[in-house]
Amino acid sequence: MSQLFEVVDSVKGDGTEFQVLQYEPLQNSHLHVHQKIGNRVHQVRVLLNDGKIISETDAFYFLRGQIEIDHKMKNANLKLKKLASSMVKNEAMLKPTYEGTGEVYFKPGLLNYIIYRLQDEEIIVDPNMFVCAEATIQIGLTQTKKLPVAASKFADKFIQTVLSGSGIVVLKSFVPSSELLEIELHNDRFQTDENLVVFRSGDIEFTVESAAKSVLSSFTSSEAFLRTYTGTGKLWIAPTQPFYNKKE
Amino acid sequence: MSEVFDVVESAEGQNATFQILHYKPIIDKDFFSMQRAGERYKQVRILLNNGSVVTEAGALHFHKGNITAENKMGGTSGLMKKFASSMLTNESTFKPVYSGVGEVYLEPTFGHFLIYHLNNEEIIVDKGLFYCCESTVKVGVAAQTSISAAVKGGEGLFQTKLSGTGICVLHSPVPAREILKMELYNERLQVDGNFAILRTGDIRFTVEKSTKSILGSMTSGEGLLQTFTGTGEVWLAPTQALHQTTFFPQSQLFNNQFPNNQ
Repeated sequence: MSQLFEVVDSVKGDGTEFQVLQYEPLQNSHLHVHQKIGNRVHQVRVLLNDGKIISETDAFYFLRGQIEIDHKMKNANLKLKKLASSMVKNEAMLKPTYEGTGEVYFKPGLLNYIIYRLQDEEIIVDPNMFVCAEATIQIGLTQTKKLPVAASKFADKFIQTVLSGSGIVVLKSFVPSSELLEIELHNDRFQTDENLVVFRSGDIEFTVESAAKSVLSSFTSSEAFLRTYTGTGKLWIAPTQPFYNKKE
Repeated sequence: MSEVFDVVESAEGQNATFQILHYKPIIDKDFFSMQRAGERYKQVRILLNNGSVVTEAGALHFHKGNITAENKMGGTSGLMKKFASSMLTNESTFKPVYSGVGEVYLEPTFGHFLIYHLNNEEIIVDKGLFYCCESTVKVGVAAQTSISAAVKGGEGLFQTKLSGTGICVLHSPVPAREILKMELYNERLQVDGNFAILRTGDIRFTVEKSTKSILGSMTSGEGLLQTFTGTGEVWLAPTQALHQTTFFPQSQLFNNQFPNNQ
């Protein structure tokens, strides 16, 4: 019997090994067209050797070995903080951790996964991109403070996930990683009217600006406000993401 | 005339040979997209040579040769036992036994089959997985041994137990090659969902909370995990949910939001 999946990407960390598994085409008429054009079912597997990782809620699928699933809850204060921040984000922020020796498998899907190594830095990603990370990574939320009045009612859309520290993170991408465009900014500015930037790192400030100076002209131009990224660092743009979103 | 079907898998028992037949693509537009994806109309054929096989009731399509079918009633007590076990396992009360010399063809389907060789051992499979076996294999009921598994296991109170020596054919929710066989050596396997379909060896099935504290299990999203502990083999169907979603909302596929069976 041939293998059901192969390891297509693998990064070793401290007592952990993050792997992206790619399934062979599955015999299923619903998946057939996706697989024919090259899409594959992917799954994240983490091999733990006395290591510890943290994952997105609901991402867990199955595990083998002596692994304890738990939550970081040191004191009540932190608990409340976490609950409060989970309300902001509309999903449970109390993310499970997995500690021990064995293998953890996360849920498969027709998705693409990117393994990224953080070296004492901070990245900001789209809220649904986080899958799992080494437990050394801090996970938080960020919300842009300076919102123009016109954009304030969409404030939810400007909440993003902050990952900081040193270690490995696994991100989910709705577009194949070959369709992600990396842009480096050197004291520069990047503006877009769509939610295209899925990732940013470095010293980049994110603001939302009105597209035009006067109220009347912003009313008449179709672009009401622009997402503006200023500074020095790296951006990942997913120019094809709107097409993928349209399918949903 | 070319062949209507191919024999893709064959297992030879003592007096019976079990074969899985794949039909050539059927010219019917309803089946076009399935068959384009590689799915095939399948059928189990059993070649009997003075042997006897037990099948799920209603599974017979046709048979050829000198074959007799009988239903073993087993007297009043046997009858009651059969009624009870069929109620418990979602399987037919009377499993007909075919014996003699000839060929037995069972109902064709677009489902999937697994062939398992039992070698003086015992396997426990999900309810409704049993399809047919050599009559040397005993088909019985396995009650959940732990309360947690019985109440919260999602597999019901009882599962099907196959024991003895011989060949059995099982229904499978996924193609045979998509089964992940996890060998455990005094290890633990925890699963979030109902996709563990078979276990063999000295394996204990319980259900555990994923986190110790109440608040933890309330907030983690994964409340209860099927837990298999011991030495043996557990078969998983990790792609089951991907096959099950018949009307595929794209968002489900892309966000891995699985239907929760529990």
